[in-house]
Amino acid sequence: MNRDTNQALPASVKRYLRAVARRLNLPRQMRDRVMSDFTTSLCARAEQGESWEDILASLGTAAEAAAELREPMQEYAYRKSPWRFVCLAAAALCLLRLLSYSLSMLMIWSFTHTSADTSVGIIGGADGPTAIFVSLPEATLILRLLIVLVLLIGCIAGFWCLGHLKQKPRDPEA
Amino acid sequence: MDDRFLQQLNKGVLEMLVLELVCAKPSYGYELLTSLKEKSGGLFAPKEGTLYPILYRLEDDGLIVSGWQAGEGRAAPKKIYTATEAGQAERLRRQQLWRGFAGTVNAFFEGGIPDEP
Repeated sequence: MNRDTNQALPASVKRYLRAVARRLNLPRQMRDRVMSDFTTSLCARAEQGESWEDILASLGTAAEAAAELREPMQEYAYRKSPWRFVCLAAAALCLLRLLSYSLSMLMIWSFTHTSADTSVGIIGGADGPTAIFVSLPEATLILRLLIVLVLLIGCIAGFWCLGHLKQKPRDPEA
Repeated sequence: MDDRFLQQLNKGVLEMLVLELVCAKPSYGYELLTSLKEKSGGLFAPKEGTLYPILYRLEDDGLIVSGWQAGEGRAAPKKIYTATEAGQAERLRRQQLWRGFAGTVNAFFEGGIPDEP
């Protein structure tokens, strides 16, 4: 959106426009395109003598205005793949696993947390250590927890990405 | 039934009329909406959401371009659409096509088919 146009708007209108933009569910470039035209229209109406209150009242809530703008723009909207639900199911499984590992960690930590459980081993020759191993009772569990955490983040990212796919390029002959 | 038929007619004609208006005078979205409504006596009264995809298709096809124009006095800058040379040429091509098309359809109504559509 043009910065000068944005500066000319009252704060309530800026908030309204931000709320509309959030609900458009369009790729960023297309969303900016729509919002710049939409804002120009609102400014033109205001310059013709309509009050901002009347203009916003005629548009309805931000959700209603966004729905009206979005509906004919389906060809530009994000494409949602049904495969995203596989990611969602995997994320749910990861979350359960994460909870179970966290619970196990908590139990182990509360029962066996003493410095004596920790051991440090150094393997190497006289010219210096080649490897340092720090072994903790919880180490394997921590590693598993981290793996599951990474998987969970991956699944959530996958779910989001598969719900925000770009439309295939428009066929000019269609 | 009638509404669906009118919708389909609108869909085909609106893009041609929007190009016609932009070719006649560089305009912004709201101006196009009011012009369409006034000039058609209310027959073409699309909403903003209907107009934007038409403008974007024309822009993506290189028939019109958009740019910001500073407002007069205290008026806010506006996003204005202007026709390109390709747009002007396409406007003439579409006018010709429409005249032939409308002539043929009218001839059906009047009981004959013109020699040259």
